[in-house]
Amino acid sequence: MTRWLLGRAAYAALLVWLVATLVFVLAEVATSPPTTEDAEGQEHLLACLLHTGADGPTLTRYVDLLCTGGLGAHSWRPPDCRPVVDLLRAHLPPTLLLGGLSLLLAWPIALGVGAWQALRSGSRADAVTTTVAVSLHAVPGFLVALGLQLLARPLGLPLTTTLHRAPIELLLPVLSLAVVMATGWIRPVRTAVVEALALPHVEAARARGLPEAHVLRRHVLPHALRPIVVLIGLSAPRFVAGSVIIEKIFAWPGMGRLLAESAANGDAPTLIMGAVLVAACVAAGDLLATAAAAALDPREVPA
Amino acid sequence: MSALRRLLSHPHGRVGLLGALVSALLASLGPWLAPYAPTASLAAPHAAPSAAHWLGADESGRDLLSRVLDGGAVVVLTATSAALLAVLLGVGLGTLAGWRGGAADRLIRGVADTLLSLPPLLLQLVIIGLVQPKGDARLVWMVFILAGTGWMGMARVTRTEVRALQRRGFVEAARGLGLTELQLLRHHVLPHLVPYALTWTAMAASQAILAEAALSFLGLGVQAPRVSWGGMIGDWGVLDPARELLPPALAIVLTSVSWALLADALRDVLDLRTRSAPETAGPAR
Repeated sequence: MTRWLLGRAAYAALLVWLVATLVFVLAEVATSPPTTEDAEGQEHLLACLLHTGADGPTLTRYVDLLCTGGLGAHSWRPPDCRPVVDLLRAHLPPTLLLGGLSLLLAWPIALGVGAWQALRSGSRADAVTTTVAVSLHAVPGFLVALGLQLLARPLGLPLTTTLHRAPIELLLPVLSLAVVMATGWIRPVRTAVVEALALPHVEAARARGLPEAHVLRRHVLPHALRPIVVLIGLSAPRFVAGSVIIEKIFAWPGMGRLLAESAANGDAPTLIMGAVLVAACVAAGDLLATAAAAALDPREVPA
Repeated sequence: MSALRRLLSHPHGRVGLLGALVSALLASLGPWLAPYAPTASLAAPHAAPSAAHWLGADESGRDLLSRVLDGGAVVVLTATSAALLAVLLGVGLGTLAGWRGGAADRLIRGVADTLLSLPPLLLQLVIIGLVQPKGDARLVWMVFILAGTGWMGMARVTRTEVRALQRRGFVEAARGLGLTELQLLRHHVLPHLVPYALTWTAMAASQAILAEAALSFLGLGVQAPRVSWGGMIGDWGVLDPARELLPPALAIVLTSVSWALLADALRDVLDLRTRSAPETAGPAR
């Protein structure tokens, strides 16, 4: 078991290393050194280059990247000579707040709607809600968020966030991200519960006359939980894509907006850090999902 | 012919084919059908729909109908080129992995699994941000980037199918008759992949339309003076009238859904549902 998990961890590390290397090579080949128009700006840039060692030998910077994940002394943002680690410190907490609240909202929605549908599978209510969920899932995230903004406009709710960051301003971004994530989960949850409901031991439990709530809690849910837990671990990519779009729409000062702005400005150090960070999150999510699935069902572990 | 008839009798097939044909037609004729130049300010800002401007005008007084038609050409052309390229890449790499096996197989599968596990939007955003292509070179880069992040599903399916075909009697018989490897591939393996390629092209086009829209919405895709639906939505301000948001939003959803429905119908009609691997991402256990 431990050896198997270590193997999975090595695979996760390999993924992060691969992404870091590919992005580094692409940045070395494709980007030119930063320049500005005016002499004063150029002088400032040169001083910054000297100060941070960002124009050092390629190998030094590559080793630095591997050791620090793009947050080391050689990583700084050209226009304002700001270390990338500062940018991370400023932008990560808002994204974690947004993502955490959205997850807290998305899970009950997905679990509740999916299980509710599964218990009525084949009925008209199931068909209608499934159609709604699938259609919402097919709509791009930015349209979901803009649609919510349109709905909120006549209600007088704050449509974008401001520097004050009043809690009410979080309502629309959190709701949008939660809808974007939950719509993708409802169908798998429904499938998992439908499959668990058809298992022989559930029928046996019902035949013994156990109350339905008890059957659901003790006999159906544990079985349905495994695919659902794997789903959470594998949802990091969807969360990243969602947060890039939703942070832009609501002017939320998080990592997603930082990445989109860096891509528009061609800010290579920030992009490298972002790519490594996302790869690390994806790898960690995958690893956690695998470990949790193995803990819930030992048959998952190959002998 | 019978496949086409079956496609037309499939409920999704009719709608999907119609939508895909309309979008392809708009892509080739849109700029000529557009009543005005898409970048010319001809009406009052936020003008309401009228006889002269059927869908009204945006904040700069540009005709919305002309912009949607002109943007459609860019979007559909980029997305379908990217889809075709992605399927070609997938068939090529998948065949190589399945037919050769060994190190080539492990390498291609490793790259595909890595790309599948990362969010495509992040890959696209980072590549565009690092390369910073200018002008119309950006369109070419978009095609490459969308294809480069969309070939893995087709490669997986191709690899599985090629490996299965390799062991079939007629392929071994043909090999026994002295056909070269290339002849075997061309006459006995690749024809079997055509139904998969058709289905995956439609699916990849649907996904490429959404990906292009997201990138252009973020201001990283198609650049002014070229118009794209995603960019039009990105320009829309939250206090602008909703009727200016609807045309590009509907265009994106309808086009992408038609291609997805077409893919769904093709899969049913060509009887791939039972054979093909699911398209959902996830690392192999």
